[in-house]
Amino acid sequence: MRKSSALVFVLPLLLCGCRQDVPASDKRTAEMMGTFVSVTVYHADAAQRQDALDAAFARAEALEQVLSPTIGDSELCRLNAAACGQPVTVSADLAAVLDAALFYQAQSGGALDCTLGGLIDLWCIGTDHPRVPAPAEIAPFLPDGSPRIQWDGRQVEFAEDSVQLHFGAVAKGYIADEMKKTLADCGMESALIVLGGNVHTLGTKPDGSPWEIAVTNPFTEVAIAGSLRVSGESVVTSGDYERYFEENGVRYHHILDPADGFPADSGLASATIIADSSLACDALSTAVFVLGPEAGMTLIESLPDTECILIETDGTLRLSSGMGAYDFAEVTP
Amino acid sequence: MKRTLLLAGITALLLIGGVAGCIFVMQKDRGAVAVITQNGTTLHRIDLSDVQESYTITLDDGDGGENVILVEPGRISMQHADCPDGLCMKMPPLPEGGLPIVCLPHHVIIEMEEAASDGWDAQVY
Repeated sequence: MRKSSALVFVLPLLLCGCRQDVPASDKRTAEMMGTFVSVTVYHADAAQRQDALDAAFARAEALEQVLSPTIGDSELCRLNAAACGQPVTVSADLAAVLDAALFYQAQSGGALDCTLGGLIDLWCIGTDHPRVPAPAEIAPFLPDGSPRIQWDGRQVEFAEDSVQLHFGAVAKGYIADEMKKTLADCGMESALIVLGGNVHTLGTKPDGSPWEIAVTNPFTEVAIAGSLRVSGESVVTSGDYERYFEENGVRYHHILDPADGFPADSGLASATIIADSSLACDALSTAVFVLGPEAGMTLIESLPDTECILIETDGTLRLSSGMGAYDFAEVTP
Repeated sequence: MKRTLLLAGITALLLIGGVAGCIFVMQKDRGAVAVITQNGTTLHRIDLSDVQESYTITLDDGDGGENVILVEPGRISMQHADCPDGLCMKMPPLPEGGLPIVCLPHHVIIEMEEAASDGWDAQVY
């Protein structure tokens, strides 16, 4: 047989080896912290993937027992019931979250305030009985410039009975960071964590390409404002469309301004933060939303390795100076 | 010569058919499968691209809580729920909405098995 004839039979056999390999992965979803968590891990070893997911979700469940404001016997709830007028020793995890919350409170000039749990309970936004409190009801909960807690890194004491700690602005971020750390400790190098709309990434996708993350258009939840690419960073958005109620034609969203105790009216519809730490993204997205576009952008530009996408209520989109690193692509309607 | 040409022709046809078949299978929309879970248990996996006529799925959470899910050709949504906040009914249908449809009071989640074919891996909201 001629060589050319032989090729006719050999070539198909060679091409039989060409197929698109789908990276091996496992995805797990669970309800947690009043929302749902979805984790996808990519790794060749199926048993190792499951072990990593088991460990990450166990870590998240343990942290929920520390930080939840709705689980009656969580460490946070027990602390809130006991710390007025007497020092209470807290766990390492709660200490870490409190430290971070106070750091960003200082960085933001008080735009983020973790001592306003009582004010949040007054509004009940996100429950089946939200209400607009009267100003006289709100006043006792507002900070007046004096220290509201005493904190030495180990023990915390509340200065007055209106103080209730609430970590709604940072807890999901901390949990996402810890889940990522756990996955990495279990040998994972590529994973995607979605925790109540917050996104955290471990490494790149299995093929080495960055993760493509879409940013919600705050004016219609079906549409996308744009997309960006991250490789190991977290992306978190705070917006006036996430949790709200309407009364007499007015929308009251869940991000309260410590200055007056009402939903922040800063000129922003959403604030999206990109950084290595999901806790930082979580805290800063809330702080920047309260600060507004000018002061919020100034804060982000002052922080290393932290970027933002701000969408104002008139539709204006602002990007921080380093957003080019994330290949943000705006989607125009 | 004639025999060689005949064999070459048959082989070429098989090769073309095989390649075309691979392309067809690989391009099947992997983002068309919706997954319905309740209390962490997967109840339904539905390939929306195979749905010819609309139908509903009714879920009971065991405490009298009811959700009615509407499955249509190419989309899925929460048609009715007797949960206190009703947020799940306000969420846009999948897959075009992009966001999982969640009824937390009744522990129901509807999400797409794969990322949308639009190209992104997740959506922040």
